[in-house]
Amino acid sequence: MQRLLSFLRPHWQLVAALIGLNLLIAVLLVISPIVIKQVVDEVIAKQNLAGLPTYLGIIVAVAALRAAALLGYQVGRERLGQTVITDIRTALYRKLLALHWGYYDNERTGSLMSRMIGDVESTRIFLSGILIDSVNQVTTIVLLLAGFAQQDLTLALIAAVPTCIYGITLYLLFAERREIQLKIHQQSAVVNATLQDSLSGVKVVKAFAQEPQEFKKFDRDIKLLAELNIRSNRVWNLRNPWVSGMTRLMQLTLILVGGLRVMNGEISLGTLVAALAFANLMMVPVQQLGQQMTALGQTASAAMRIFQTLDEPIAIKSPAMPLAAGDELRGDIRFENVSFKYPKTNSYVLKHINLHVPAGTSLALVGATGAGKSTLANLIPRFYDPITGSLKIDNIDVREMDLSELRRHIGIVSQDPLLFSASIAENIAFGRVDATQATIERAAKLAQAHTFITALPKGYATVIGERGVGLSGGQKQRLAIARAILLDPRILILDDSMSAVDAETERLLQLAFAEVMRGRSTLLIAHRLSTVSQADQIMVLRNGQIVEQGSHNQLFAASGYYREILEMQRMSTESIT
Amino acid sequence: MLRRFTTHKDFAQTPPDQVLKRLFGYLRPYRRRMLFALSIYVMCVTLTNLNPFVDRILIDQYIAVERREGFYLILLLALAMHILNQLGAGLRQILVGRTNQHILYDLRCQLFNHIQRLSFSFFESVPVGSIMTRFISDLTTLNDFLAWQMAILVYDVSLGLISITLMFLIDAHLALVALLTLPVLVALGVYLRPRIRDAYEEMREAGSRLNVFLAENISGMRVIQAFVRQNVNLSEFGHKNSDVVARYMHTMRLQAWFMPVVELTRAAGLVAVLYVAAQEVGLRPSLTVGTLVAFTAYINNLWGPINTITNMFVILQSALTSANRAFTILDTQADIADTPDAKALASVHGDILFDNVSFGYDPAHPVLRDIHLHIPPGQMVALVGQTGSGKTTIASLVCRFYDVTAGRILVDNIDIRTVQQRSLRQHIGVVLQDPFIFSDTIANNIRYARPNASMDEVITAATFANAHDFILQQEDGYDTICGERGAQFSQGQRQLISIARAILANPRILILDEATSAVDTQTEMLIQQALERLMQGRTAIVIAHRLSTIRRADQIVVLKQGTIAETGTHTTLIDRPNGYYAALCKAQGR
Repeated sequence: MQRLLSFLRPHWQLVAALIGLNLLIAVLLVISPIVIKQVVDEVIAKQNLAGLPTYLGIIVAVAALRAAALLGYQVGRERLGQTVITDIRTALYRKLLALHWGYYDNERTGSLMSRMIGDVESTRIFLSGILIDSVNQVTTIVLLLAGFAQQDLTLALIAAVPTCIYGITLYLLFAERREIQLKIHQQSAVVNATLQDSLSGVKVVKAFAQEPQEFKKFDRDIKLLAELNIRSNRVWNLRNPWVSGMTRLMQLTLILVGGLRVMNGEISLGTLVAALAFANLMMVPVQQLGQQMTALGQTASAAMRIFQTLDEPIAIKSPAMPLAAGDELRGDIRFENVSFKYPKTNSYVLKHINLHVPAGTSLALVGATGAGKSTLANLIPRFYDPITGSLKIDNIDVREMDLSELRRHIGIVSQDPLLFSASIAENIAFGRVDATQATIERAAKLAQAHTFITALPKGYATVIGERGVGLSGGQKQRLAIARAILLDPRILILDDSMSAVDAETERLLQLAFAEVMRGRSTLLIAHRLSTVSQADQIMVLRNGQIVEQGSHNQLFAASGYYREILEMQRMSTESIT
Repeated sequence: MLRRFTTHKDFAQTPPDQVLKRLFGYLRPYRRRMLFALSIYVMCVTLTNLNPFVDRILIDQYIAVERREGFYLILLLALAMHILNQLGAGLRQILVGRTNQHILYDLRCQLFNHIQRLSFSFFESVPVGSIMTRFISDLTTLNDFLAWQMAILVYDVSLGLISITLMFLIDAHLALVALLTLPVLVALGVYLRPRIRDAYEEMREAGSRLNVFLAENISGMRVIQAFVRQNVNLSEFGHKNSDVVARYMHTMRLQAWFMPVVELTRAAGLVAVLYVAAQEVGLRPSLTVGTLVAFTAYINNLWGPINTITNMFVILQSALTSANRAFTILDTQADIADTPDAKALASVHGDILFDNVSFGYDPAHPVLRDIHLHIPPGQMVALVGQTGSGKTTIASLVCRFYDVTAGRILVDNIDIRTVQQRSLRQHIGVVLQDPFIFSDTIANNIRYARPNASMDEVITAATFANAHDFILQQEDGYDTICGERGAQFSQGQRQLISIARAILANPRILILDEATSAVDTQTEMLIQQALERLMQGRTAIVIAHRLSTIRRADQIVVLKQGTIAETGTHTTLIDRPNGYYAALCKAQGR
């Protein structure tokens, strides 16, 4: 809670002004009945019209002042709320940009989204509305009790006791409800995830005609959500009316005790009437306070989740004093006894990897699905850090380099090319926002993408739909290749980047790659040995270990795994021709 | 129809009363419960309004005159009234709350069911994020409106009506004076009404743009980091966010005028009453000091509800917008719908005929032209051609994901447009280029098409697809929960799972779209053998770039820019001079 309040600190002037305005509004509200009383007593009752314009003038003036204060308060409150959520949201977004890949392996897009939207919103409602309003309400209640005590101490005590009980029960109720609220939130996240899953997988759903099954899943999830909500509602409403009805009980007690005392001649009738008026005035702030307590539970869990994300340790970040590789990075890559396993798993994906890619040469990784090829490639840009051993570029441990600098020199084409809903030109220029059209087209030409792009009605300005809908897999891959080429990187990582390309395009791309790879250190993951055989060095991975290593000719002569697949592929082509 | 998702101005075209009427339709199944809740409401309002009355009796007739007999009795009566009131309040809230959840449930079910019926073209033009927004924020707004805001409105309206009635009963002349300022508020409402609505729309649109941006950023975070785009995206985020803030503040500034104006008109009303009363007091018998005190109280009573009602307008506005959005989706007709007399396709031999088929996603740009192709049952057809030549489209047409723009497609001599889509697809197994894995266990992903398949069948299918070994290496084997889209698996492993899924489905027609592209050679060979066994006796349409796959086909179809350029078998096509296939073989046979 304290931490939540710290978001308000930079804006304390605005907060103070709002609290001030709020108090002014409350005080002005009290003045108006007093003036009316004066009018009734002095003017109307005494039939004395002389003072009337003054009193009426005061009423209008008070109302005008209150109207102005209300206007200022409302606008100021919203301004504060927006400023604060912009701060929180930006902090969250910054954090998300900085978090390492491992974090995203375990987080769902849907739940991060609900943190960015829903949780931030309920924090705003709390900080800009509830908090400041409740300051006002508590003050009003205290002022009223004080005024009460001045009239009659016994009656004031009668009023104070239920107010305290009210506060305590509200707190207990809120604590009880919090648990259910937490469950509700979790269930909503489940519903959203189910929804997201069946919406993004709609092709599969339809292809296998599984709409009823998807509906059953969704139905089960939302039914549970509805049940939880009904339960929470019941918990609240079976108790809340008694709590909020406390004020009426207070009035009745006042009439009983006060009435008896009046009849005994201990206090005047006027005092009792005044006490009842105070009790009446107290009703509104007490009820509002109660309503706001309900929201408090939601805010608490929302804030908890926000802080959880903000506090998430960033496993991979730049060192405080990075060793500069600078523009002169040559691209000499060295793995020294590198082992790696994914967090929360037991088995090592890479075991004692030693390899060296001299600057400007290429290395091809070969091996069965799941052998660890992509994992190995992902260690170079520090998407993950090795568990043991070290990875050096130009003889500097990557962990000692500036992270952005390092990644700026690496161009990656990954297996599953993810494009963004922006124009094709913007997608190609993803890593260099300031790239000129000419640079973009050159990269596209190199990636064999220029022809199909210009064939599109809008050419380079074509906007790509979500997840690249509308483009074939091979076209997406070529855009991803152009995107990497445009960076003009020192190190190029091609992770199975030609799998979805037809044979002719693949041949063209191979030619292009020969051109692009020249002078760059390249890590190549491929299944086609025609591609692999061009590499300076070839390595065969099996279960996270390097089992064969050498040039095409050496490995061919060694008659191991490499030879075996080569034969297999040759067999299939030989039988064609 | 689809454009309506982007140009929200269209929403304003639907008359609000129709939208409201339709919205209240959702309350109809619960009308008894709602009526019951409403009657409890009326009871509670009455009881609450009786409180001052009872208090006055207690003070005037007992305390003031020191009458003790009956004092406790009336006090007890007041207590009983209070308990009844609170019981009613609790019961009412529970009833309304439950109805509210049921309506929300109904709305969600309806929307979900409808969206699932929509065709591919819908999903290609509307991003998932924007559909999600319909479910999350729009439905919540609607529900909030139907269940809670309506109740507040009823309460305030009845309170206001009671107050006005009492005012007129006490002194009609003074009541008119007091209500003189009411037109000012109406005028303000008329002036601000359209402005606030537009501002709300713009605010929502900006918000939705921010959401779409965020959703894409989070799912594409890996690429952003790989390309060191953090700073660029941060400033883009900043722009989008300040756009939202600016529009929000604009809306709020407009809305903020209501309360102060209500405040001023209230004061004006009071002053008018006091002024008139001061002039006329004593002239009319009804105009006593007591009346005046009562009047000031009632004026205060009255402006509260007016404040809520004007606020209500804004809430109503946002509810209408949400309703409109939800209804727009509900009213979107599926491009491909079963005809009323569509029959179920019971069993299939697997004979497929493309009869002069043409197709274009956009009619101006046909993707396929005059395709004539016959695939006898049990045959395997390989589709060959450059990226973008229309191979995947042919496969999608067989599943009827899209409808042909000319010609027809017959399965077992039945036009596929005349049968139920689901029954057609139940006979087709598809392995897509981009394998989609659900966030469920591996086993459930494999048994996706047949949820009641036994574990043995799952393992058999996985073994058949060569996925068994890597699955066993996972932490929990077949019970391992797949991450979002199967993130923890390599592309190849995802493909293996999706092949196992198709195998278990045991369809008569198989469609393999680049199914083995991301698998290493050894695995590819094993899958190939498995698929060959699987294809035995089934009709298969295979899209592949690898000649090793293609050459075994009974029929090879070479597509070029949406037309069939060559058909034949490997042996008839291989030597065709200047043939695309012949060139392809040469290219790969290097």
